[in-house]
Amino acid sequence: MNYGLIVIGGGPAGLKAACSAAEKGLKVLIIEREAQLGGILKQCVHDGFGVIRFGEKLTGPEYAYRDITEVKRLGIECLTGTFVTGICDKDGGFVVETTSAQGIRSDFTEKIALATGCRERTPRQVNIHGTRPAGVLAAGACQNFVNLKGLLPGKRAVILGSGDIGLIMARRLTLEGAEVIGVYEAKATPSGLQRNIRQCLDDFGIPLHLKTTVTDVYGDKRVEAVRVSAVDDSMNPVGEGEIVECDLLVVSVGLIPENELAEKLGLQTDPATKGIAVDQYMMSAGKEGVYAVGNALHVHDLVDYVSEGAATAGADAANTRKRSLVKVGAEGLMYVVPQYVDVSDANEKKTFYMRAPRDMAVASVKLYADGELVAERKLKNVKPPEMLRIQFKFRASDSITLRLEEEE
Amino acid sequence: MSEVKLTCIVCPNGCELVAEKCGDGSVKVAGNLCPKGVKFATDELVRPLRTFTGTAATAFPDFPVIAVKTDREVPKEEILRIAEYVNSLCLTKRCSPGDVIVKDVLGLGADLVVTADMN
Repeated sequence: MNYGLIVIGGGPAGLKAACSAAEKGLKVLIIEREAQLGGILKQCVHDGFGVIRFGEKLTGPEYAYRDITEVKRLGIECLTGTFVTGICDKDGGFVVETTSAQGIRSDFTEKIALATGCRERTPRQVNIHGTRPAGVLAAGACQNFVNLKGLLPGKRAVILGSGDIGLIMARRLTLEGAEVIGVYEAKATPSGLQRNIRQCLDDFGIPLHLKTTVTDVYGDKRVEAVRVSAVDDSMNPVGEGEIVECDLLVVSVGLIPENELAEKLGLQTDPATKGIAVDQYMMSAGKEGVYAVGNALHVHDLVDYVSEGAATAGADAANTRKRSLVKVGAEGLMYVVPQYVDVSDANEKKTFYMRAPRDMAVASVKLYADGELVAERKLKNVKPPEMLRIQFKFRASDSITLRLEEEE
Repeated sequence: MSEVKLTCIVCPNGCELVAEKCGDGSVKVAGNLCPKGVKFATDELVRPLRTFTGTAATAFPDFPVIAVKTDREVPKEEILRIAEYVNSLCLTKRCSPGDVIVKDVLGLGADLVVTADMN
């Protein structure tokens, strides 16, 4: 079949990109490898989603349900239980090869949206020594067991890393009757949102140990204990540490955009975001017609902004632009998305998503065009876990730089 | 009474609040970007409220458990008791988001509703 847009991934980013393209009249296909649409939201049974987009606090499945209902209303074709095995260029568009229980299939599309989400950094990627017994799980895998399969993977849990999924799982495991001994974070500041520390840890008296990490795992078939040690400023363990008995180690140490398909298309990833570099419509800077949306582009902390970016991409898929790209300089920032701006575009309002490298009480983001300061935003309580989203209105220029400065 | 530091959990702003209970029983709040912060801080000092979210078992093999929540906030100290009660349930009817499965759960004035789609 021939499509205007094929969306790979049926999570919040893919669903919204598909709807917004279909509303512009494109023939759209969503390809999802799982049996159901909804992506990671399916297992996020806690609430707090949609406050910005809908003005209500929804659970993950409720948020997904709204977009899925819209996909059905628009009559968008969906292939679930279907895995993309190949993408290649053809006649100015792309051929997407898939496999499913129905067999193999090949479709042509003018444009592609990569909405493949992200993967968890694994326990093995954080250099924990010792044996490899059962009971060592990434936080999202633990969430899948508890919230979708109805299984409790342990009764006495230690959580390594203070990422949001780890905090959310500390509460979930407690509600399911497990004892959560503590959350251990090697850095001096938490990786997760402050409000999650309050409502997931403090509410249940679960201690958060900063500048402390797990250095060894003990146990033959099953985890029996871990060793936790204080770390110095260069994250090296100091002293002998302490043995903590447990039957579950949950590791919540970060997410990495999933970009296998982007690599198949020969696209480079931005080392700062680990997603591909895009313009303000989320179209790849390196390849016309390829979009990346949601956590495949950069890891978000709020799904509302995933949907926003995906809507931008989906609507743009119906357009033809003759692009003239200018690289966006980022100073004093961990990263900026988009990495490029199409300056031939007449729309002056552009949305930038960025992260600060460290906590700042008062800061300002300054936008320089052709070396001249054209816009500035004051910010309070800037923290790396909280993505900054700033809209600037400015005319086309030959050089664009965003600079984050701490203020007294 | 002394000042209490709170983080508002109502929305993603996550305002850092300073709240103080006055002699007349009212609560003075600073640091909030919107009126919801005042209500949150007042509730926190007087009677903290939370929404329960979790899962309930079902009789269907394709959904061993299904996401549920209370349709409004309930006293924070009841959350563990609700969790224990919800873990004793088993749904025998397929549900969609918003379907009420338990009315007035534990007499707390909130209904237990399904938040995921089994249909």
